[in-house]
Amino acid sequence: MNPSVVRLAVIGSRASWGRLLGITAGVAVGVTLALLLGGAYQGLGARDERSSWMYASGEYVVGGDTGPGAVTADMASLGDDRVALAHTTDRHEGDRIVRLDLAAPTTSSVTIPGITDLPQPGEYYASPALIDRIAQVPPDELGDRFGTLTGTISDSALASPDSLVVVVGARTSALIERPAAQIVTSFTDVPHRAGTNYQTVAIVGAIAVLFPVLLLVSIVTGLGAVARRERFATLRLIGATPRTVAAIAAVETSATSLIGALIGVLLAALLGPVAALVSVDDGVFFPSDLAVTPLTAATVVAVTVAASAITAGGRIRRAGIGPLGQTKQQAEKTPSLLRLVPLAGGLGILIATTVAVLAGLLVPRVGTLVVIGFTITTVGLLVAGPYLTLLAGGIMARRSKTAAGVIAGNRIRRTPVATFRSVSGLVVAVFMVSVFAGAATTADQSVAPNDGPGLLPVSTLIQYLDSTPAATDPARTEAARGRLAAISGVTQVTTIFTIDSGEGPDANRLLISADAVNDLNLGIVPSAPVVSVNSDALSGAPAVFTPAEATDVAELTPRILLIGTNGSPAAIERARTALQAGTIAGTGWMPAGTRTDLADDRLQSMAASFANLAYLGIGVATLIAGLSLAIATISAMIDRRRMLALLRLLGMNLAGLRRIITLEAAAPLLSVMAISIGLGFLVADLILVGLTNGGRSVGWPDARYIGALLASAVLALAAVAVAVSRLGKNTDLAAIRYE
Amino acid sequence: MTALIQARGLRKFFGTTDALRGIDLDIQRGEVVAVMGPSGSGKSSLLHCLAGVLLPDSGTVSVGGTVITALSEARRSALRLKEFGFVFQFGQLLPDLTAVDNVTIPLLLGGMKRRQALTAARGWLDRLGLEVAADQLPGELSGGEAQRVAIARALVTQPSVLFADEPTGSLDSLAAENVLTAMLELVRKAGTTLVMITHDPRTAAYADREIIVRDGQLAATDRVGVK
Ligand SMILES: Nc1ncnc2c1ncn2[C@@H]1O[C@H](COP(=O)(O)OP(=O)(O)OP(=O)(O)O)[C@@H](O)[C@H]1O
Ligand SMILES: [Mg+2]
Repeated sequence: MNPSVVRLAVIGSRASWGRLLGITAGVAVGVTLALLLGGAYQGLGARDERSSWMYASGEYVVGGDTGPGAVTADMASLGDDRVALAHTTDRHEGDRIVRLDLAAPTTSSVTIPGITDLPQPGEYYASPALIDRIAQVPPDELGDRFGTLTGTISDSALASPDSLVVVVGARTSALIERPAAQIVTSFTDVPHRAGTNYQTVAIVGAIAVLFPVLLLVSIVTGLGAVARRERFATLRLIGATPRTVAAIAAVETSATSLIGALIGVLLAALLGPVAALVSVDDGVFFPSDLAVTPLTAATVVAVTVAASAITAGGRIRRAGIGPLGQTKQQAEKTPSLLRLVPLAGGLGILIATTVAVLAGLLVPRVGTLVVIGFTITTVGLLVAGPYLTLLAGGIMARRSKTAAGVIAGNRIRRTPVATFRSVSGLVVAVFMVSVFAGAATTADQSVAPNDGPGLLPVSTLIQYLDSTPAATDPARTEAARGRLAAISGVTQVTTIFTIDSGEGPDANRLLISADAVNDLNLGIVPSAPVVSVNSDALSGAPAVFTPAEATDVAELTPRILLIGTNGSPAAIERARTALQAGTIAGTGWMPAGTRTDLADDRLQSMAASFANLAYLGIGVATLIAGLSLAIATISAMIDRRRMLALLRLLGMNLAGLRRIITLEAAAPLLSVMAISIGLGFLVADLILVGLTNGGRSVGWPDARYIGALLASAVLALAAVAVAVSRLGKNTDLAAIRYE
Repeated sequence: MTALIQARGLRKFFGTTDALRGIDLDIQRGEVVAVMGPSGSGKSSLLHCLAGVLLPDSGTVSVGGTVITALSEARRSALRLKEFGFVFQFGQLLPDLTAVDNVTIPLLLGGMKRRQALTAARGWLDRLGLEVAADQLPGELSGGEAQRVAIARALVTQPSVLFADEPTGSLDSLAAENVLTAMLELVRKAGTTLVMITHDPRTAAYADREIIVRDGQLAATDRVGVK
């Protein structure tokens, strides 16, 4: 190719440099995000793999019993190839600690990843984050729970630098008494826990973020299309063949996107450590988790360059630039009703699945169906967008009373595809955030339990007692009660009893002695030696007391200790530690928890653990979509500046021009966004109802959702405002000539 | 009787180019004036200055006694909307709007109701023989039809002055003849003042007066006071 021809094509004007800069920046942003997301995908897999040993399991030990499948507990020695293990979730100031209690002979051949030897009774190994925390708070709030620190669990066996994990040595005889004790032979080949779920979410998230990025690149490469078309037409006039022109466009674009992609690789490397600070599922990443291999980076760069070259060349050839320059504006094909088909199909799948589930039909692979339905709906929204835009534009063109409305409405109606493209990034972001916020509403409702008069205070710890004779020995319980009451910050300790066999009015009720119940301060109590209360009072339901049939708690079995505290975290942690430490230990295998803790355990949903990642992804997507909208609006304005200046010449003032540009962006944005929000919540409800068998449905979204919506609205407005602010300069009558 | 348009001492520079070099010109109400002259002599610059589209570097233009060169851009916009109509060589219709919608724009800008504006626009299109083309897009019109739509749009507000810059410059002679006679008929009937740039002496012959611009100045015979 003749170099001077290339120079003529590329180095046209300042505007064309701006264009190349725009492409470079757009591609750089895109590649950065793609690499970071790819890293997150790898990282989520890697950390699940590293931490899988914690979920080792085996046959359950049933203390004393010899039920089917149970291992008898008459095992003074376990043998060298087996260990007894109990897995519990402990807490400290709201954060969960994975606690493994382990009993093994000193000669055991079983190994645990990340630690050198198995802990002996009284010893423990902890993760670095937990060791730090133990060092920072008084021992009676945390450290006393575990014994003597003998070593650190290395990072190679931890999901995240934030992971709180402890492996505590225990005596075999004590451990196998526990209902949750298991016999485990290996910690090394444990199947992954929820890894695939997390990665599915990462993929959906990647699509949600990459879509606006691709859009940005496509909008940016279309920048200054009019001026460019004229320049290429000049080339054609002086004899360049269509193939030459397409080749020039391809070379120009691939060179630019190569530079952009390399900058992207650099940015991804620089931003990796920052991205690692995003907390997913209770923990940030190790920076090395997000590191991208050179091979991946090279592949992404190569694909980006090839794709942009092919698109650019193809676009030029399709534009059909003839030697006669100012070709007549190419009319867009009018989108047809058929574009609603995929959207209807996706919704159809979701609705059918939900209806079938609710009707009690056995639906195989509900989860997969829901993901497929959701994906098709998202794609369907994008396919349907131009048609909906066409409808909105048509209505506006017909109904408008002002010149600006007529002009904007007709513009939208004639170019629905291009118009929708400029807002589609925000539309997808809003759709995703609505689905997510809708789906997350249930989790949020249950994580923050209500507190108030007549309800068990959230500052009260609930300790369930084991059913072993030792744990339910009334004298022992009394002693524990006394010691707990002596802890500073503990306001009162109440023992709750149950009857042993489930007959009569006291069955399934919690029984409390009359003296103790008044201290609880939970409302009106009938006068009786023993009163009974509804069991869901412990999970936050209003307490309703009735006289019990039983008349003496001495005949009943202690089941639960309620430890009232003054609400300070230190007091709660002191009581919790005392319950696990030597003085009281043995009351219950499950660590004590407040109502909040227990509700969190029950309803720890995927949506909640992904909140950070989801809102971050949506934030990034919204930002990029806003940027795209700004660029698209500005470039539409520049491409049409002659027309806009003409309107000024006819006597339209700047305010009128501003109204045109604003309407052209806002009308499709608002109409399609309203549809996105509505669809988003519908889809969220279908997903929830489908996946939980009708057990949950969508509630009101939380503040973050409103925040995200407001942010995208503000961003869209800012984008349009930026474009509009340049209107005066771009339509200056002295700069544009009419002949 | 004072002239409708009075230009005094108009000078206009584009960088170092001296496009207008001191022009004095009077145009009477209802007059049809043809502006002629070689390419690059400053005809379009003069027209734009008279219409308040460009501001001269020195000199004044007054229309109906108002000194428009002293008005703000917003006031000049309002004046253009109310008092002036424009027709250019080509490419002045909004490509997304049908012919009739194009014609309604100045009326809508003036605050007229959409329905009324559409009726009025159709009336003007009929008068220019464009009944069938009313609902077509500019891209679907022939060059002559497009020019007649532009004329309808310029006249629909019944302006006192119509500025035309080579309105038939892109048409073949038959189409040019048709467009021109239609425009002149409407202008004469309404008593509209017409300032029309043309290269074609036959076109100029329809005018009440020809003025010739050379090197940014009027030819001697056209100067104010020399008649
Ligand atoms: N916006 C502008 N920027 C720079 N130079 C200009 C501009 N407008 C006009 N000129 C210059 O001013 C001079 C007069 O231009 P003008 O367009 O008025 O001529 P014209 O008589 O209308 O020519 P034509 O018959 O070719 O249309 C020319 O030399 C032209 O190059
Ligand atoms: Mg000219």
